[in-house]
Amino acid sequence: MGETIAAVSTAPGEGGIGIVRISGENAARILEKMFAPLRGKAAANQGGFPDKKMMYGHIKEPSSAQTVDEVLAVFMKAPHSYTGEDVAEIQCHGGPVPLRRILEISYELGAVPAAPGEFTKRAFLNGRIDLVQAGAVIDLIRAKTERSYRAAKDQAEGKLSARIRAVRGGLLGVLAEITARIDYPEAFEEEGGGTPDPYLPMLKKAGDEAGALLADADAGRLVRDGVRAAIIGKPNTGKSSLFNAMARESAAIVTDIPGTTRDAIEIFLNISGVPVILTDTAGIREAAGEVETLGIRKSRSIYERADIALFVLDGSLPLSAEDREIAASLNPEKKTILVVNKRDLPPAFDLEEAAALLSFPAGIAETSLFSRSLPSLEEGNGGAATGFEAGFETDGAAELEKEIAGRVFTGAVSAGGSLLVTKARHKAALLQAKEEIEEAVRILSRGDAPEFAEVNVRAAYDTLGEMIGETVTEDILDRVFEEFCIGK
Amino acid sequence: MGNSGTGEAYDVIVVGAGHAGCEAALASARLGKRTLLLTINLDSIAHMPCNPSIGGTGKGQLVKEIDALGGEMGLLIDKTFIQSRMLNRSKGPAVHSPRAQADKMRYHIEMKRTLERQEGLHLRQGEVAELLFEDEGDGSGVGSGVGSGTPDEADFSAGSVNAAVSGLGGKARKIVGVRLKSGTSYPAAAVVLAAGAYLGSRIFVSDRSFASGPGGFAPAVELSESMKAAGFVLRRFKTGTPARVLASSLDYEKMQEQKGDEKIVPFSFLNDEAGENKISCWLTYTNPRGHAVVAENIEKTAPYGGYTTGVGPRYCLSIEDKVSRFPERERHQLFLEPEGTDTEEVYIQGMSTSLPEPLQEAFYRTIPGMERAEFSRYAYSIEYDCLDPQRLTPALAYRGVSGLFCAGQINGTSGYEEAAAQGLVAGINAARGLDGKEPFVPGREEAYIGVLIDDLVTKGTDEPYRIMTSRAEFRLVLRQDNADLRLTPAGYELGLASELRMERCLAKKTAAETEMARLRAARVGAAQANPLLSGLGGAPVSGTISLAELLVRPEVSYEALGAIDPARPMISAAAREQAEIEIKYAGYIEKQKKQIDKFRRLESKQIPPSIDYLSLEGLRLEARQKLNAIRPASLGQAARISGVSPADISVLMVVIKSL
Repeated sequence: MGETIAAVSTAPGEGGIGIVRISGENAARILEKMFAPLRGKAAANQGGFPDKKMMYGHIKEPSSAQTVDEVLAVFMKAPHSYTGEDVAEIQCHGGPVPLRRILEISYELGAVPAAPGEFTKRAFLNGRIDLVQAGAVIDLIRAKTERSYRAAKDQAEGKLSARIRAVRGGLLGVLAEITARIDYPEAFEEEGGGTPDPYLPMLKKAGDEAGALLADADAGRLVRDGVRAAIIGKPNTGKSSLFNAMARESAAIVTDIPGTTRDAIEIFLNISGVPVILTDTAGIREAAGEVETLGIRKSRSIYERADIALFVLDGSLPLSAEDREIAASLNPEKKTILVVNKRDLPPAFDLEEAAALLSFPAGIAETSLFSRSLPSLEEGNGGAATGFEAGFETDGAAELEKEIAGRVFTGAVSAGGSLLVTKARHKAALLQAKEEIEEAVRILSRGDAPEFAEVNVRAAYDTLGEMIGETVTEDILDRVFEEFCIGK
Repeated sequence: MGNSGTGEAYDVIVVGAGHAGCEAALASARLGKRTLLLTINLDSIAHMPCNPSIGGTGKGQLVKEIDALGGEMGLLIDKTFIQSRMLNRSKGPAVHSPRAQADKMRYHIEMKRTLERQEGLHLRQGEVAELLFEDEGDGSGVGSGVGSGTPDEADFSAGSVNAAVSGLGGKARKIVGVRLKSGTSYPAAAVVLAAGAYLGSRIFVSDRSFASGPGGFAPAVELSESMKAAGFVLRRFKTGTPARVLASSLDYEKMQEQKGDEKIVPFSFLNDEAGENKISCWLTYTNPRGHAVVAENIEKTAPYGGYTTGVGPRYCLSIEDKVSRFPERERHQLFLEPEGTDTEEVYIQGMSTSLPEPLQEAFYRTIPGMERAEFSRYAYSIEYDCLDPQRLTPALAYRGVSGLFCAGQINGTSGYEEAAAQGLVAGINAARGLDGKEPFVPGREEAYIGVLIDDLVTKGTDEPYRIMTSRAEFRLVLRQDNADLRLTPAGYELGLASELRMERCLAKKTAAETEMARLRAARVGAAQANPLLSGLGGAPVSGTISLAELLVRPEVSYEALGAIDPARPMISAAAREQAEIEIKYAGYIEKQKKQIDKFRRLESKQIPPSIDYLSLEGLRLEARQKLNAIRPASLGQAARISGVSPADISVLMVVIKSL
């Protein structure tokens, strides 16, 4: 039946659970790559998944093996499934963040976004739905197409399609250059060999633009779904104080949710219009009544799910082995803010020393140093008890908020662009286009002939075209004939 | 109407002996059909009224495919070329494109001789004035069924299902023969219409125009009129050709010489070697002085003066187009191509025009080396009638008129190679149709011929269509070097490719595969590989490496690898080349083959011919109308129609399933 498709099959909104459905011959392979069973491992590892058995486990990031969510997954072997193909369904905790991320991972592993009504269409084509229902299937395809067309149109009228068009325009230029040189070689056979082929810089520019849009896509997702921020650190560094200060500063609602699987305390902040869900990991440990230094290990899953981490250090005590242990276990890819706390007390280490804790090679640039220091309190010993809290109540928390916003919106987005890419489908298309462009750059850089790279450039061009509903191949030739003087 | 007597009956009659008609007639006769080939003038057989060359980008691939299937063009150009070059040699093998300068007159003579000697083929001079039809199912003979269509029945644009199915005026008809201008009628079970640029053609020079076929041959005026009367909708296309000058009047010292290749790759897979280059071509440039002549007189050219309205090709700009559209360019390139070894005539490539003749002289003589050019023929534009190829099935059959096939320029194409390719397919399918066999329709993923025909019948064309490598989405596998491997088995199966051809194809395949396996298995140590690699500027290896792995490196050619490959067997150059390309570009080729698999999934889903699109409520109106007009054979073809969306294809899938 062709490609393996994936989509969220529950209604959009804040449901209790959400389901990602994957259908097609690669469904098992995709599930296997993203799903780590916590029980019944043996069954899953031996010759595929058991048919129609609910399995409990984690969805892992394919690149880092970090946990995305705790899920139930079920695999249904063809033909006894809704579509009549191999189907995998993943039930996650709902809420748009894990749902979207799981869908994205399925795309990264080779699934393609399902077309409107496609599950039902496949069910029909595979004889899983009665012939009488053919009309209903057609209506469904039509209705869903209309709806997504309207949604696409809204976006098309915005800046997204303008920017996609700009990237496509660049790619069209590359295609025209390649085409003209291949199909009209004699027009370029100037004396002395002529000028070098112009493709590479043009492609790199298009790749950068697609990359910027992708960064935007990540930010777009965060804007839509909320940023997850986690406060981490060893005990007694003032995490809860920080949490409370943040909560008060933003006049946010503190929700105490003991007894759920998360066992965490979350607050919902609004930072520059972006919802931020701040989780205090200290809440877990203290609720569990444990005094020992489980610290970050205990809070690992919360940390892994977070988009950004606030790593809190006690500035009044020398850095300890425990601080170093936590620092060493941090994910270099994750945006991290180092918060040196209790700067109202005589400092036991300087900021450089704190920064040196985080020695991840690539991540250091992504990490900023937030230092809470109140000059008035640094002199003398006054206000030891209240000064710290007071600091947060004034500009301290605001600065931290600014820092969070700065970490979330990097690059093009923070430079004042609006957030455009909010759909997983669009992100999948952009990612594919960017990869195709990068492959084309590699091919040309290696010195291989342009017609090899052209395959990738055209794929990128078509993918972006589909995204904004423009797919005409003839326009390459139109461009060639417009720009080049060619004739016999 | 035919009352001057009836000639003998034929299985297949081919109208027109240009590049399409010749291939069609030969294919039909070779497939055992009694075939009549009619032409206005026997001296215009396989005439090249424009460029004296065959091949080029995309076109060279077409010629090799025609040859691989058992057609004639490749063999004849190998016999009659006077210079040969492989274009795009600096690029990868997928776009290597052979092109040869033809000895124009000898090509004509060789084709004429081939036709005359072909068993089962009658070659005759005669101008067809009318196609003869009868209503489908009406058993009456030629005399009574002739020309039953009337113009008012021709209603192509109306949304009626019947009109679209029948193609002509609501009634399904079948072809029963042709009537000549002389009055004689010839009955036939199938007709291939390959009238070229002769149908109602007019030549334009400045503000003058007159009825004429290309190169001064007579136009087919009556046929054009009778076809319109029978309900065919004809369109008007335009093209042009530059002047010819005498070589003795040119100063080649002031031009750049362009020699042929030292090592010539033959067009035909039956030839291991081709002959030698006999001439050079010459390159020179226009200058602002010449552009000024054109610009000052642009109103005197046919299109800018408003004397022509036909649609010309964008890829074949006249000098007036070049000057007016690219005014910033200080010079335009032109090639001087000798037309043969028995003539002084030289073709001026790149400089077609419809300026008045004295101004043509004034302009051309501003070009370095052409100051004293003597003119033997002046440039002109030509307008002609052609059909909308969207009226055709992928077999090149005209929908609604059974037994009628169309090929070449009449289908809106331009180029000898495009014409020959269509002629071959139309001839094959006319013959197969009579035997009740499935038509031969190569796919886009199999051949440039498939790309050409699918583009025509699915997308149509608004200007004379020229093949280009960029039109072939799978061009990495549709190469000139493997056309035999791709198509000769099919040609053999059809009964067109000979035993010898098939044997050569299989021998090449086996030798290439054996050599590839050997290269993959044979390993050399770093001590052997590294001196070679350092000499070629490549990074050294450690341990051992297979010869195939070395060959994948851009800097290592099969030839260079010979230095450390003493066990290399003696195999043909063609097999060697095949092994080298297949190993060197394996990654790209594999990727393309995956794309092809995906492409085939939709392509293999046939749409029942009886489907009534106009009543399919689930389709948008535009999709219904387009599908009804083009009547695609498969879902893949349907998906390529502009205005048919992916959702429409989804709906179609459901509809087909529930039929």
